[in-house]
Amino acid sequence: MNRPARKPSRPRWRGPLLLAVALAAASGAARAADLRLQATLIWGANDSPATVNHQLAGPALSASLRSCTASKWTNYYEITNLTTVIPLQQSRDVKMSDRCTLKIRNLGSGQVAIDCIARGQQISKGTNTLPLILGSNETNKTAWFVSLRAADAASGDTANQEGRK
Amino acid sequence: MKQDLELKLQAWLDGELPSAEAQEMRLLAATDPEARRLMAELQGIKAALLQHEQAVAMPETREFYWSKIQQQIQRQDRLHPPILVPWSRHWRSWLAPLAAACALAAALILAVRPSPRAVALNQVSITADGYEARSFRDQSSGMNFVFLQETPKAAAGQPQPARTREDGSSFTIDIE
Repeated sequence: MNRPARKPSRPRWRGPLLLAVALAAASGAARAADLRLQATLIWGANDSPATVNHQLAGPALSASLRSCTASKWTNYYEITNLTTVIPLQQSRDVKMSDRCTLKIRNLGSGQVAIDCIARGQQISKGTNTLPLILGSNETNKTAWFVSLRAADAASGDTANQEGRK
Repeated sequence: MKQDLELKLQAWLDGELPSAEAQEMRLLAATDPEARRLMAELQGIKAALLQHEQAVAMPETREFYWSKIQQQIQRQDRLHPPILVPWSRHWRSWLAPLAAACALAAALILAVRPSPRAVALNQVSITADGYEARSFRDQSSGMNFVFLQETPKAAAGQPQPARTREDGSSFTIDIE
């Protein structure tokens, strides 16, 4: 009686190896991806919402601001909210208001270099990791803040420097 | 006669019915002429088969016949012994891809994980004259915070906002 010939065994390592290489490649591609940056200009004040013609900032952002400012201001109003896409190692001017523009460079890995320009004058230059809040006092007992964070990739608002103003 | 009754009658003749049904068939055979005729026919067939059955003599016993098959199997096993793979080789075939996958997974985790430098990066290198920067990290929200503040010297040059007394009159503070 003749037995059937043994089927040549397929290398078992090929599947896991290909999977791992694919994952590594996908990871590398994601790291090199552009930065979708959400920038929100916030005004901190003790004025009640009834007297202010702006909507309140989201609860999570307000909570972060209260935590960082020791609840110095009662309310935080959203003035500008925009999303911009910054390719790796490139800069974009993000105009938050008529008086304030941020020149932001995407350094990769969630890091950005920021030039803060107010009334045409450079106020500061720094290197930071997102998420980040920039803030400053105003003379009338209020303050402005700019929240910078990587936008949720699933949000779909891909407008380049467009949003609520 | 119905077919099921015919089958039942046949089963009775073959001794396959329980006693209650056998009694029923016995009564039927005694009373029903058609049943009696069928029974006679079936008995005739049975007798004919028994009478003319050819006796077949096996050339070899049943035990001998099966022992030959068993010996044939054993002979085949001796000719083609099963290939025994050493356990080390068996494990090696799994360990090699497993080790490669672990190494790549570790590399992947290291690549994806942000570097300590990235986490700690929250610095302001330049501030304009008259401004100072304070930066810190709020651990609860995981948020980096940079607060730019005019220094008192710069604030002195700025017109101070009007303040209100309790009686409603206003005043300003001049900083020198």
